Amino acid sequence: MSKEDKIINSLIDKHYNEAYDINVLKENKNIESLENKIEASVNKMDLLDDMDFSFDIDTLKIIEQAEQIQTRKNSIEENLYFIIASVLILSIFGVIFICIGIKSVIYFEIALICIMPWSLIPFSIYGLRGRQDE
Amino acid sequence: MDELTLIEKAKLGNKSALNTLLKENYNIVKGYIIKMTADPVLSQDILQETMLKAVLNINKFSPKAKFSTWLITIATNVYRDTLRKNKPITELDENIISASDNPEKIAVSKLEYAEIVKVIQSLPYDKRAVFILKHFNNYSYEEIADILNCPVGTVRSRLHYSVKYIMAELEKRGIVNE
Repeated sequence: MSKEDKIINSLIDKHYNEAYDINVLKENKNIESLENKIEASVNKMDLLDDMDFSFDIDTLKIIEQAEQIQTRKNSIEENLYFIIASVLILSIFGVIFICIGIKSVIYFEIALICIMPWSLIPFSIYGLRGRQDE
Repeated sequence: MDELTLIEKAKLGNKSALNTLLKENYNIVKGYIIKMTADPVLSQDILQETMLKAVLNINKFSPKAKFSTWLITIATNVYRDTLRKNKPITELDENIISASDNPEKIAVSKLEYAEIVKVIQSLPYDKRAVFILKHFNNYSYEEIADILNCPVGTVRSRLHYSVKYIMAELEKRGIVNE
């Protein structure tokens, strides 16, 4: 790095109130013109502060949009969990049936057919009681 | 209500608190994006996407830094992604300077203004971001390093490069005399 580069770098840091090498600036006495040049150049850039575009964004609309995206994301996640859980349960049953034997599928189905109607009895009793209370 | 309280409420799903947070920091982010892009359509798109991402990820925000700093980080990432996708950037409109109430500034020719915009736009995006964050937003080197996710030394050298480039370009274009 050239000596002038070092001086400019220190002057830039000084201009922006950052830590700078004070020795570099002390060693050189003709830094005033460089300092003025830096000041003039960066101050010219302040004109950019006037740059503005006439558009406005409705932040409430964005919040609503984000809510919709979040809801959609959640429903996709729920569906995904449901599919994974279903595949997992069916796979477990599949493995069990393969291990025990294919005949057990028929026994399982017969057991299910016998048990399922009985499981409806508590529900119907509960429903009947509800109607009687009315 | 202070920013921390608003952030806590926003995280709990309070729409009003979230809206206040966005509105309070709107102008800071808008100013930064406008200076970065110098394009009205692109600025609007990036601002909208930034706000949307902020709302979606509000629970990930840890209030170590200011909310505006976090929004600027998101805006920088969104802009970088846009550049990667090679979105066409429209030509600079010379009438983009707003009606300022400062007569001194109004007197500055549109040509000079357009040249200054061209100079800042000709800087690479990472160096431009450092210059804008330092010069206009007055962030420290450490804060800029956090925003841009790079070492402090890189921020320092990028700023040095930017200022030297601006000095050389303004001199070449006759805007600043030797």
